[in-house]
Amino acid sequence: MESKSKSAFLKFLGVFLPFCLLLFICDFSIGKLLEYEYRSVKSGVIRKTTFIIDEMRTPYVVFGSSRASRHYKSSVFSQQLADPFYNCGRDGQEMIYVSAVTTAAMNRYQPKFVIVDVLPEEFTKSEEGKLGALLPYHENKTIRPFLNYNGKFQNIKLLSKIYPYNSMLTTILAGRYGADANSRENGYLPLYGNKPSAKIQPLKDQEDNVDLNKFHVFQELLRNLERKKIRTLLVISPLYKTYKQGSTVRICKLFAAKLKYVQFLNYTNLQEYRNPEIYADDYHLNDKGASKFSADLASKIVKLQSAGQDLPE
Amino acid sequence: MLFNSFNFLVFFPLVTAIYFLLPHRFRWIHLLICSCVFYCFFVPEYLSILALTIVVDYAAGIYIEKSAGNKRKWWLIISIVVTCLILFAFKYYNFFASSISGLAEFFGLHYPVKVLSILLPIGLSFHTFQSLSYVIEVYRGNQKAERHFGIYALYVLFYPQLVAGPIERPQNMLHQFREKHEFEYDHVISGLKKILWGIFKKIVIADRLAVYVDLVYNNQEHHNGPTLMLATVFFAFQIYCDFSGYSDIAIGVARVMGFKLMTNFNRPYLARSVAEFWKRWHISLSTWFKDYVYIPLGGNRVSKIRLASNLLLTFAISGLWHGANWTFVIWGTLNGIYLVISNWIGQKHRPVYHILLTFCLIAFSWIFFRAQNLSQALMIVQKIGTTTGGLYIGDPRSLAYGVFFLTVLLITECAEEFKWFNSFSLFANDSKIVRRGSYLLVVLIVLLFGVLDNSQFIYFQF
Repeated sequence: MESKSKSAFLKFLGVFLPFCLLLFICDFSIGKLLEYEYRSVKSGVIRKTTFIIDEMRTPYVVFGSSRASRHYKSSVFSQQLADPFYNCGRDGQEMIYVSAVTTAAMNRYQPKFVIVDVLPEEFTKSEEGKLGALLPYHENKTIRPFLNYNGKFQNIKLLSKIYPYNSMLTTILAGRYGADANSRENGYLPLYGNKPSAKIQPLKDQEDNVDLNKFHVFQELLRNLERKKIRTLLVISPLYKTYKQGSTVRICKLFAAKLKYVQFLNYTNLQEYRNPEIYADDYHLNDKGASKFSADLASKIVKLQSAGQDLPE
Repeated sequence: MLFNSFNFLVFFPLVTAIYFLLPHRFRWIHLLICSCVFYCFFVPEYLSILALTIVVDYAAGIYIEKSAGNKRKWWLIISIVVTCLILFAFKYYNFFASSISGLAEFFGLHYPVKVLSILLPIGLSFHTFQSLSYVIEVYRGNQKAERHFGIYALYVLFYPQLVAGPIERPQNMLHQFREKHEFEYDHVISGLKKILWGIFKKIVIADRLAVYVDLVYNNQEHHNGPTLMLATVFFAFQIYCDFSGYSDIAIGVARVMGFKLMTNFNRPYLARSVAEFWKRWHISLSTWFKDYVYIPLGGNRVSKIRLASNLLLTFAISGLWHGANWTFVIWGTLNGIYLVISNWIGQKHRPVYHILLTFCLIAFSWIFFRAQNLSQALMIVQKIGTTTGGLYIGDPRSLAYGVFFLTVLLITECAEEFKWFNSFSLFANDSKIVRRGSYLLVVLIVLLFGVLDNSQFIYFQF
C-alpha cells in the first residue's frame, strides 16, 4: 500500500473503529433492555412460551403450530379428562420448535399424556430461518442445540444482543402492556366465523420429500418421550382439503408401529369433518369445530387410558 | 452467495482487504478467483456454462476486430447465436416446447413434449446481455477487442454485478480493471453508505412487504379486491426495494474497491409518465434495449405505426428476458402499450398528480409480473375490479414494520426529488454527528426490524 493509501486507510480506521465500538455499546444496551422487557412480559405469546419452557406442570398438553392452538380447546379436554390441560401451540411454528419446547418442558417434569399436532406437510419443508421464537431462550441448555437448525453461524450471530429479539419489539410491547390475548383459555386461541373455500379442494403442491433435519429431531423427541414412558399421541387434525397421505403420514405410522408409547390418529379426509360450518378457513377449525374435535379426541383418550389399549380407529 | 448472507459479511471485507494489499498486477487474478468463488456458492457446475460463453465471446471479439466486411458480421452472428442458444436452452426451451404443445392440443393435434429438468444458472440472463454488449460494441468499433483473456473474463464475472447487474458496457468497465485503484477514504465511505442503504431497502422493507404479498398472492382465491390491490401496491414497492437494494449493494461494493458502476435506479416511482419511469427503472437494462434493440429497429425516426410496433416489440422482448412465461410477455407488452398511448397523447409538461397515475399504471402491470400464471393474473384483475370487503391484515407486526419503513423511504425519496426540508439529508449531512448517527441508526434498525433469514433477491431468478 502506498503512503497516500495508508493515510486514507488510517483515516478510515479512525472513523470505523469508534463506529464499531459505539455500535457494540448500543447493541449491548438495547439488547439488554429488550431482554429485560422480554422477561417482564405478563401476557401474550411470549409469556406463553416462557411459561411452557420454564414453569408449566400440566398433566395433559398439546404441542404444535397455529393448528394446535386453534383446534384443541383446553376447557373441553380438562372437563372430559378431569385434569388440567394446556395448549402449547404457537402460530408459524413447526416440528423443530415443537421438539425444542417439548424437550425443555419434559426435562423439568413428566406429564401424563402428550399430544403432538403434526402438520399435514410437516416433514416436507425445512424450518431454517423460522426458529426466531426460540432465540430469546438461547441460554437455555436444552434449547440451544435446536438453534443450529435456524441456519448457519447462529453462535456468531448471537454475539449480537439485539439479534435474539429481532422483529419482536411490538410483540414485547403488546405482551408487556396487555394487548395480546395469547395466554387466555389455557393456551387455546379460538377462531370465530367461517370462510373456507366454496368446495373442498386438494391440498396443493403436496411434496413427498423429507427434510432430514426435521425427521431426526422428531425421532429424537419421540425416543425421549418413550424413554420417559410418557404416552404420546401424534395427531393430524382436520383440514378442509383432500389430503394425499404422503411422507408425513408414513413417518407417523412408522413411529407409532415402532414405539410402544406412541400412537397416531389421522383426522384428515374424514366425512364427519367435511362440514364447512366448522372451519374458520381451509386450515383451521373455528371454535365450533374445535369444540367438536376436542370432545371427540378427549373421549378417545379417555377410552384409551381406561382400557390401557390402542386408540380406537 | 447472497449479499444479505452472513457469508458475504465475511467475504466482502476479506476480498477487499486482500485486493488493496496485493500489488496492482495481481489484483485482476484475485478478483477473478473471488468472483468464481462467489458464483460457486450457488451451483458451482454452472460456472462451466459461463466459461463457455466467455471463451466464445472473447474469441469472437478478437476475430471481429481482425476481420473485415462480411466476415466481421459472421463472427458477430456466430457469437450472438451461441450466447443466445445457451440462454435459450436453459431458460426458454421448456417454455417454447410447452407453448407449442399447448397450441397443437388446441388444434386437436398430438405433440408430445420432452421437458428438460434443468435449473436456470443464476444470473445467466444478465451475463448473456453483458457479453452481447461487448461483441456488439466491438463490432460497432466503439470498443477495442480485449486481448487479455483474464481481464475479459473478469468483465463478465466481476462479482458485485455478476448475478443481477447493473448490466455494464465494456466502455465503462474494461478500462477500470486496468487502472490502479488506491484505497480512497471518500470512495470507501460512499460505497459503505450505498451498501447500508441497499441492505435497509432489501431486509427492512422488501422482505417485510414480501410476507404480506406472498400470503395474499399465494392464496389469491381467498382474498377480495381491496386486499389484492394492497398486495399489488406492496409488491410494487417490494420489487423496487429488492432490486434497487441489490443494485445499491453491488454499486457500493464496487465503489469501495474504487470501481464505478452505472446507476440502475433513480426514484422510479416519482416519474410523471411511463416513459420517464423507464428512464429511472433498471436503467442498465432499459438503455441496453434502447441501444441494441429499439434503435436498430429504427427508433423514433420512423412512421407512427412503425414506432408503435418497435416499442411493443422491444417491450415484449424485455418481458420475455425477465422470464419464460406468458405473464412476463404480457407485462412487457402492457408497458409497451402505455408508451405507445403516451406517445400519441404527447403531453410534455405533466402535473404532479401524474406521479400517482403513472404509479397506478405500473402497479397494474406488476400483477402480471408477480402472478404465477395467466389465469391467476386475470383472476386477480377481475377480483380487484369486482369484489369488495374488508382488508386482510395477516401478520400485523410485519405489516406495521413494512408500512412504517416504506413511509420513511418515500419521505426520503420525495425530499431528494423535490428538495424538501431545504435538501436536508441524514447520510450527506454537514454535521459529522448527524451523519454517523444516522449510519448507526440504520444498522440498529436492520438488526431490530430486518428479516434476517437470507431470503433470495427476486431478480436472481432471471
